[in-house]
Amino acid sequence: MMIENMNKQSREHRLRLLKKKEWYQLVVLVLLSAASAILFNAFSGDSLRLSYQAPQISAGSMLTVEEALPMHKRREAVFIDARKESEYHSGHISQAINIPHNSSRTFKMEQFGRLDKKQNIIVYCESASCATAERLVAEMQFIGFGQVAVLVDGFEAWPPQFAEKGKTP
Amino acid sequence: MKGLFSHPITHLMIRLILGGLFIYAAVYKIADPYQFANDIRNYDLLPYYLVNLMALFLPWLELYCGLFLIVGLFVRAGSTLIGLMLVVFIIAIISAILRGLDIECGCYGEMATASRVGLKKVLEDVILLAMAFYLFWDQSSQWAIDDWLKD
Repeated sequence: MMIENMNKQSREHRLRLLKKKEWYQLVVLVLLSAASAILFNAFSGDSLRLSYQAPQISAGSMLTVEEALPMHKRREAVFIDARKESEYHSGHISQAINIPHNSSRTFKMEQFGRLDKKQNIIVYCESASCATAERLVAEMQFIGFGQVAVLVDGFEAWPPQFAEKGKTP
Repeated sequence: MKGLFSHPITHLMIRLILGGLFIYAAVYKIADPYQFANDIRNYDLLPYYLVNLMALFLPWLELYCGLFLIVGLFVRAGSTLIGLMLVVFIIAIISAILRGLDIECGCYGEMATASRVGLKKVLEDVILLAMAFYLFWDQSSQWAIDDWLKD
């Protein structure tokens, strides 16, 4: 009976939340991690800003079809289609590259690597109500693309004569 | 079977496996915090102002918990933190599945086996959670620095 009680007590002790000393250890681990993170980030060449800024697409980087079309005609910008591959195949802005916003990061990085970070890039999705283009733009800005814009009204407002079907060029 | 679970070798093996996995997961994220921040953001669970803080802090917590488990220092505290992180990861992955998000898991940073969120990831994390719980429950401190520091 006594042994049973001792075993029970031992099990309860094991499952009890941490002892006071273990709480201190937990705090030490958390503080050590926080300090290392801050120091490493401060001294690493490519440090991350402590507070992430929500994608702030300024007025200049939200383009209407009227603004984007001349750039398309003059080939002054690269167009990126952020929709799914199937949607892209059924019709896209001519010469646009398909980089679905939810594609793997390996694929995205590979595609981004082919682009010049200083060139004009216009990203679009289906319509004004979709947010995938804005997300892709935010990702691109994150890795250093400076002149990336969103085509506000998306592909649905694009003139069909400047669109085509098929695969990525 | 009971003997196997309470054997010091089992305890050591689980410490090494869990610690090793957490170190492995942390190194890639520390090397590329931008990518990890993107992964966190894709889950759409945290307010923006916390995304970068998490992307910087979590990998280091994973690294220290992993290292401390391997050397056997603060094992119960470390396994508690690992358990808490795994619970958060499991909730995040399940919520992504329920919302139909087809995103990178972000579990092991940028590496060849990077994979999408899914039930397989949940299962993996549940197994790791069971291992963390075992370390929390089994107080063996053989072959651990904690053993030398005992009162």
